[in-house]
Amino acid sequence: MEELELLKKDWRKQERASSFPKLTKDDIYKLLLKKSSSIVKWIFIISLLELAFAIVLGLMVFTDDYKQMTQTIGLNKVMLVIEVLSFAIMFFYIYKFYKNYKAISVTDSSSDLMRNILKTRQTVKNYIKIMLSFSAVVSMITLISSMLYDPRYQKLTEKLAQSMSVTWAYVLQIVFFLFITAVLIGIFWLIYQLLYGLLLRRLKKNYKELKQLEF
Amino acid sequence: MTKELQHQFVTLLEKNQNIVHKVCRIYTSDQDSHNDLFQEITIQLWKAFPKFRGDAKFSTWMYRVALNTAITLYRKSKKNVGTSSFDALEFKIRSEEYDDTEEQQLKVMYRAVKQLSDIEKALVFLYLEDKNYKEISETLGITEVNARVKMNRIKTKLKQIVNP
Repeated sequence: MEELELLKKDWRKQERASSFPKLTKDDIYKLLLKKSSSIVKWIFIISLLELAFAIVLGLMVFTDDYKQMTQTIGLNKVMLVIEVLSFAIMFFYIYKFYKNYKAISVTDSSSDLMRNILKTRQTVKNYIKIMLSFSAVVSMITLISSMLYDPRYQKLTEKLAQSMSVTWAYVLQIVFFLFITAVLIGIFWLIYQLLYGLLLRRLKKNYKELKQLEF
Repeated sequence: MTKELQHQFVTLLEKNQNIVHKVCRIYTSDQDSHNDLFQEITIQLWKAFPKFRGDAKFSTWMYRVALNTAITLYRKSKKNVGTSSFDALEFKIRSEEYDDTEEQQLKVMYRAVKQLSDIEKALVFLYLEDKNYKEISETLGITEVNARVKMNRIKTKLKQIVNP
């Protein structure tokens, strides 16, 4: 293309004419002291916060109520398995996150770099998904066993049962619980999408553009 | 040891800084963003420098880190999304002795490049830097055939922008 060749000629001319700023060694030394604000750094910080959140969430679901209930209904062993499992999942994901994060290298090809960043993100995202579902299930178990065995819940059920059948009183409580859970997860998801939407939109677009060439 | 490494790095970067400036010129729109991107590329280069083994040319290695920073790692501020500092170039062109048609053509071309995507800009940049398709494909992580295909599409796209 004639025009592109013309551009190339001009591009070289610009360089020869040294139209660029010229930094001295001292200027460069100063730059080395500055802090990076790359998206990888942001993703790392946010991922750590997320992991911390997921860990706390994992610990929080094992409330005293939950422990007492599982004991009462003889689910001690199940509880132990769930707890061990949650810690195993936690260590697995922290290890995977660390490994993926370490694999991010700015000296890779653009395509590899983008893929590794997205992979690191995906690891944390998967962990969050698992922990959210896990917490929902454990909370559900706690709620159902509480309704059946906790005197406080029984009182509430009795009160509700004054204006409806006992079955409906149970259903109402479960529906209410599900509703609250859905709203909380919804809010969480929205913030999540917004945060990563802003951070990763450009990267995803560029990655897609590179990948489209493969077909 | 670190001081020695730092000295080595600063010397190499000072010598090759034009590469970074050129990447900044393609991807940013004003001096502030230019400096901002230059800073981020310098930090990324320095962070990666201990792993630079010298089996590749320093400049080749720089192209990769600088482009990766511009395309992937750098967080653009809102004001410079999708524009470039080619405007500044246009003024320089005007002040030099070109014949009218050539000047006009260049002006239109610079504007056209401005409208390209990040990836397309990277290809054009490497092309302007006289890199062959093998290097272009290795830098971006695509096959050589696809680099050629993409470049041809960009040429067509530029043609369409220039002659609507």
